[in-house]
Amino acid sequence: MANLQISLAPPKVIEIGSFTVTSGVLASYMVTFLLILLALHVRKKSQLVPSRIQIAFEMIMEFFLGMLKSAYGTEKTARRFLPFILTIFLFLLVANQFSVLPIITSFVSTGGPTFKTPTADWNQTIALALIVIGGAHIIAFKTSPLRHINNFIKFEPFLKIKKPADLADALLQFFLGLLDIIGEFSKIISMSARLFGNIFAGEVIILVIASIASFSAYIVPIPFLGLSMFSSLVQAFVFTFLAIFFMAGTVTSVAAPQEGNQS
Amino acid sequence: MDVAAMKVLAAALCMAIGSIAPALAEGRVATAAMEAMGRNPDAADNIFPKMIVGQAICESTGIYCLVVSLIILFVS
Repeated sequence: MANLQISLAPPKVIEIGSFTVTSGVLASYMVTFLLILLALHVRKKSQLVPSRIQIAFEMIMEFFLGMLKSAYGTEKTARRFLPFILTIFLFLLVANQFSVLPIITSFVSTGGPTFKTPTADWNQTIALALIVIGGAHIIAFKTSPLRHINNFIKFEPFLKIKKPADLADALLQFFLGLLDIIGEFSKIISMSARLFGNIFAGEVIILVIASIASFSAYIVPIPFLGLSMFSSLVQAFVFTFLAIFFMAGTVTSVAAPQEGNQS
Repeated sequence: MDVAAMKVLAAALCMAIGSIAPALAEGRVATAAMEAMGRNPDAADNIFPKMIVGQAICESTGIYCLVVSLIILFVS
């Protein structure tokens, strides 16, 4: 087996002073450009009797609107979050499959290929997870700072102590609140590592199989390519699904108590 | 044993032990889905995508082991 050059960090393409552009970032620019072209095309040709692409997009939108409604309760808040969630889903849908595009990966520059799958770079998936979780916390903090901090640093049980047994309970609640802070960081790491691991492992498997023997680069990787395409689709959906429910958990936990809840 | 040998051994053991639990978990999810689909064949189109998503989430800890193993092997 030849000596493979596999590195976790993507190759750097442009370095201007201390500003570096890696091949994953270039590829994500290309994905964004493709998505904008697709959106403009679909919007220009949208009619009352829809074409097939329009039907596909409407199906995706209805599906995520239904899921958001079940997460947030009201249609108004569901529509507030719909563009963000759909953007994440459409970006991941295209970006995970980037290695399927035929000619692009043969452009080679100094470090290695000029365009690499964007989500095969742990930096990019951590960035996506940070935007989701950080955004949820910022929205919750803006809605009601006191209630949001109270969810994590729980002083209220200490103010309601009547018996010594209540002190133990208050201490336990305080400790669990601090543990929730670590839980938020673990959400970021788990979301990003799941997406990165699936996509990067798909690429490494194909690289290793193609370098086992001189003939095994031709037909043998096909089942692994199929598996990689399928898991890219599933991972795009799972990331979006978890983004919806993590955001909903954080944002609705600071919502004002509803009036009509007592029966 | 020198460091390089221990690294390779660690990476291999990490992946080997780490793939036991996700495989068992995905099997249990599939079993429940198969029983539900057998009991109610009309709901099969509804149950199957949910089974796939459930298995993808069960796969997560196996992927974390894979990432640790890749870090051990390829990050100096």
